[in-house]
Amino acid sequence: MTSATTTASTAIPSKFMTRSRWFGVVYLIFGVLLVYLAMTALDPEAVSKFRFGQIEASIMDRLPEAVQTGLKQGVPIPSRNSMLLVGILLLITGVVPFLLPPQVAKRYENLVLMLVFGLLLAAVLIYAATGKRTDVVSMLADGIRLATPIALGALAGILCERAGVVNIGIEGMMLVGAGLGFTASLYLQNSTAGLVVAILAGMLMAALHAVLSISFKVDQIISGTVINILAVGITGFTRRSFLLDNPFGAPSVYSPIPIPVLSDIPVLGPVLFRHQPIVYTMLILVFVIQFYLFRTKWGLRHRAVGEHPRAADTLGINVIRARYLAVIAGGAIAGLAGAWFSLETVGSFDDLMTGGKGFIALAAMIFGNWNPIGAFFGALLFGFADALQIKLQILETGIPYQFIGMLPYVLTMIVLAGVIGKTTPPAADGVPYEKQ
Amino acid sequence: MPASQLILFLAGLILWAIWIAALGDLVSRDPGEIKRGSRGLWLVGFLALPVITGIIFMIPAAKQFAVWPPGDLIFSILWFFARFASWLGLPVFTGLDVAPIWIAVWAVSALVGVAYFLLVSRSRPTIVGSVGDIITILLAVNTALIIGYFLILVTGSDPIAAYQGLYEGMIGDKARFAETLVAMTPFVLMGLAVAVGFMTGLFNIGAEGQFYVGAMAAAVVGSSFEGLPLLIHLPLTVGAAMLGGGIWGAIPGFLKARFGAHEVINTIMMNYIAVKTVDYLVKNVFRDPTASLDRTPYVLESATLPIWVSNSRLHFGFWIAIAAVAVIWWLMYKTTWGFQMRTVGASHGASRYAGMKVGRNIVLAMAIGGVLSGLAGGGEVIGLNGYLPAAFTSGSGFDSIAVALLAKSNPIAILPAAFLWGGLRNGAGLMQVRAGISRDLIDIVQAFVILFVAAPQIVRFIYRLRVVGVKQVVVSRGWGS
Repeated sequence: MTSATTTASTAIPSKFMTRSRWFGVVYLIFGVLLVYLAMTALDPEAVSKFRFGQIEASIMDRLPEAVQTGLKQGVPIPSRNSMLLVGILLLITGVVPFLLPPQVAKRYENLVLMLVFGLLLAAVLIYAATGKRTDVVSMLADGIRLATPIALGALAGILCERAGVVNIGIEGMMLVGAGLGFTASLYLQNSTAGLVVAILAGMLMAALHAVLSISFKVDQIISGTVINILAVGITGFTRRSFLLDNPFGAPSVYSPIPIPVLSDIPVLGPVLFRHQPIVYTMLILVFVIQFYLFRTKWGLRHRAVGEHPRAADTLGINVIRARYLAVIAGGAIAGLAGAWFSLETVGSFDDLMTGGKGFIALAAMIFGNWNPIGAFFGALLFGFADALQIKLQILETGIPYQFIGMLPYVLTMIVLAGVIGKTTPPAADGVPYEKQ
Repeated sequence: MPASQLILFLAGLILWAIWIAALGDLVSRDPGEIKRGSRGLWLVGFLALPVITGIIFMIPAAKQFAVWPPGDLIFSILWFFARFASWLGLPVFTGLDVAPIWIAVWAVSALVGVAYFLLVSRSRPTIVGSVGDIITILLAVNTALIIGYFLILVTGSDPIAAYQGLYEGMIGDKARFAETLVAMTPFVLMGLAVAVGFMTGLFNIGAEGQFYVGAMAAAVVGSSFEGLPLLIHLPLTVGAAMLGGGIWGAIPGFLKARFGAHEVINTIMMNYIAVKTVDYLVKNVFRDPTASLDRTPYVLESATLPIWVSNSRLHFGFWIAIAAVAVIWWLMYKTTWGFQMRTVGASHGASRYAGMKVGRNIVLAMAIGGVLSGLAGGGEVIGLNGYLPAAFTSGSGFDSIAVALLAKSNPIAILPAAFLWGGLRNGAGLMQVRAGISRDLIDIVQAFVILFVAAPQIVRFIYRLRVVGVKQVVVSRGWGS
């Protein structure tokens, strides 16, 4: 694998169409599209108004008059001109890679990708809100909420892959967590017990993945697929056998816990500190795992097992045990992510309700270069795209909802193509360990 | 559920397992190593009783054997063959009808097996190469069915009734067998699609998306161009389905070859995008204005695949699938293209060193996979439904992976694997009716089948088998290469 990667990366500069240039073409297409939309579909006079949530009167009174009215009625932004601006900016970023030498363009690729996505999301929002008023704060808060399962899934993936086990079964672990967790909370009439069962179910599926891929040395992608298929079967069977008609009423979802003092901060408060418990858990876990992996000796051992298991083994680390622990811990987190779907968000369970979030989580993981905080930002990107999609459906833009719904998936593909190759997976990722 | 029946059931399976392990050992042994008797003599000893019973077992079905028209004759032969193979390969099912006779036959056969071990082999059964693969897979399927048996027991239903229903739903009579072949057709094509990927070292989870795109293309082309003769319109429609699927498959291939973006995630994303695109197109662009539900207009007569068995829905797509198996086998094993793809699958470095274009072969393999899946989707539209509804879920994406795994990516072996898969799906309906157990049980059983096929060590451990010279499928090469 390593040799293939190096030959590939040395071969690229000799081609005319470098990665940056391919992306330039994509940006050009988006730019042309935006300019065309702005010129044809939008009224030059139209404005989009943005509000920033409820702001306390005591703070409001101290602000200047103009700002006050702006905040109350929404800040007006001229729709057509700002769309045009974004479109032209995109056209410029599309042309630049063809003018710069490839090495220079390559250096700024990631940054440009992030910027372009920010601009695109803004443009879509402006377009959708033309002649209407929309609240930015609620959208940002939604973005963080919707990023939760993706971030948790990415964390689960990071734990596994930092120990050298590719885990493509996160989707299945989430699904089983969601299904069994919900069933338990229904039959025990206790949503905390449901959460525990969700986590245990995730761990159990992960244990199966561990046995298959670590002990039996089954190809890890196949093993993950087995997990995914098994999860569909188990949850479908559970749903039809125990959930379709049951004597209980549906349990209520976890209620939001506003954090005292912090939740009163304008803008930031509602975005960050008025969430449900699993969202907070996710935020904490991101930092805990970042600290664990890079600042503790156990984390160092964990990473050693994924980078060079033979060396780790020589130094007395039990590679097999470390991998088992990592995969099962990842399963627990994936189970928690599953609980987010059924116990925290919807309050019911549907077949395939995870909707590919487990796979998107893997893209977020790769985006973050197998780094918890990086992956969190990747997850935020997808979370915001998701929130935007919901917003657009509410705003009735005339864009078919199917296309809006595609947004996160297209985003995943672009991110994957744009980011991979410059990231470095753990060296022993996907390679079973044979003790000598 | 009487305990005696349970004991009989398990006893029969153990006896069958001894028989097949001994048979496998015999087949893979050198003739010189057989100390007492000859291989032929032992084979007769092993096969005589089960084969005779199997033939007797089929006599009641002989009344349904049709000699005319030719399509029906071929179909009847296939049906007889399938029933007979199921008796030898999957005693879990067939024994249920005739439990005492079944146990007696397998008991005698197992005795022959024990005698063989005592007189000739005296070791753990050792099975070589593809025979080992076949036997491991048969044991895997049976083990999964036993697990399913206990699952049914736990939920309080009658497992015997459930499995009888499952068996009859699969190949109980000609009508049901025809439906099994109908269900099997897309699995053959999509299983091939995944298998071509496996051989090239790629994991194509996108068969489902490629299927939808192919179905969409066939629905559009098949319902337009009124007045074209069949000889032009039908190939055109099939070609459109292949082209649509091929393009859909080539995109993740290109992303992999050019940017190294892992095909597993990209193909899954392409699946979601395909579902949503097709949903939009069916509801808004190509909707039949006269229909009450969201669907495309009916495919014209000149683009419909003809039926080849009377009183059934079995269309010519089945033969297209068979032909595809032959073509893919020829392509992968007899041409330079196939050789290159398999070399790329074995090692990127080695193939690049030998002057092959790795990227080109990756795109090619994904495109071929897309063409096959698109063909499957098109066949469903122009052979079965005649139109494409908006909420069209085949859910066969993961099934196609299972079929490819079950067949160990061997194009020929795709046929029995797809037959088993289509049969289980098709029989699940009757099982649900007979035993009142949810058909999702079959999903679990199937997941266990794949589990045991993916980790044959488990099966070999349970049955004390030793298998020599079997390759394990490797597709994960990390995320980057």
